[in-house]
Amino acid sequence: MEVKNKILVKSILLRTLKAGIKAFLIYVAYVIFLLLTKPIYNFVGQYSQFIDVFFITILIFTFISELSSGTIYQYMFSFSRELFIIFYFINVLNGGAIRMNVENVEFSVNLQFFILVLILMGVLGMARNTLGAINFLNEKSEEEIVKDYF
Amino acid sequence: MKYVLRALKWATIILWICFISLISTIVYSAANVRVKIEEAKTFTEDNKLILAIPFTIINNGLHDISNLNFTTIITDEKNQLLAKSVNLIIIIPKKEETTIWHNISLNIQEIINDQNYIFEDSNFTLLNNVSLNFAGVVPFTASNNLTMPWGAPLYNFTVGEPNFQVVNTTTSIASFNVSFENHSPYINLEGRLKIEIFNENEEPLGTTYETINVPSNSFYEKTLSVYVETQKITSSGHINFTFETSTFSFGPLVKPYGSEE
Repeated sequence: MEVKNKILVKSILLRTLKAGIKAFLIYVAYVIFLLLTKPIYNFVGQYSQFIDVFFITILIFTFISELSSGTIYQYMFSFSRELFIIFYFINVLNGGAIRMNVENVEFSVNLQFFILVLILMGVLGMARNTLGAINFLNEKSEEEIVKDYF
Repeated sequence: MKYVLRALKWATIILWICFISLISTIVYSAANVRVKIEEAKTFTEDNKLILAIPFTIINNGLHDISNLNFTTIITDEKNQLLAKSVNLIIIIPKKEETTIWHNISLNIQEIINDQNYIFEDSNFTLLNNVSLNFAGVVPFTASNNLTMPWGAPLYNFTVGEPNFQVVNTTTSIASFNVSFENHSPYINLEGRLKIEIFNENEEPLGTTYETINVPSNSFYEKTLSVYVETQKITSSGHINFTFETSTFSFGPLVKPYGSEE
């Protein structure tokens, strides 16, 4: 029993560490993004709130799904993350057509290509998570059958 | 199933890396595009005022700029098109620079033909539009509206009552004041002014030519004299003014004198 508890604690610690590392990597990506967009801050400045919300949400989703790895919840959270990415970008980027006014100059950028790629990647991620969940449940039931058998 | 999942995982990772790299390089490239606008040159040619603006686009980025389109449209207060200029550059390759002259040609003669614009100041609208396709995937447009002041070249054109002085039995001198302000910031009135005087029976009394040189934003006032036939002088009539300048011709502008309406 003690050995089993030790293994469980070790596994939780390992998962927390892994989740922390992944969350940290996302934070690094966020810092790099901020550095890269610094020269055009005037242009993206008004979207800073949306960018912050996006990175924070992705970070939380990644942390939770990594923490819950080895359970069905991992796939659930990952699936939700992909769904969030798709709808968040469609909503924030106004379907890909961005208009803004800086010092009497009206700028418009068409980001439909990026939205399309994001949707495709989101769909790919959702498919992966669905298949992963099916595989997980399959393995789980196999384990139970084997357990019952012996 | 495991192999499929592994393949999907790697496909997603690779796609994300490619996507983030593409965004990063596009942002980096956009930040490294420089546009230099040098001093604009203004000159007149065939009754047209030409505003030539040299643009240099330095593409220090990692992607090409394609379908670069500069469009300038000038409209008057009635929203009528006065000028349209379009420059199209198919491609500016990465690490290269391109200079273009954006020429905006304004037909002064056409504007002058509208008498409002020769005597009254106005405001034209200048619409600038720049569109381009960055890296082949990001269509970008920037546009702005500017107000372009139009100054009347013959603002407040006033002719005084002619004063006839008899020189001899056949000839008299008609003297009258002519004044106006050249409010135009673009047009220097250089040329000649043809003056014709008619009596009330539409008979010509005399004609003269006056050389004029009125720079932009300056005032003109002069007493002009015309030799006329004494016998034909009547108490009323009209004076016709015809302007023949390097940028436009205008006239005859009929100004009545005496009791003639």
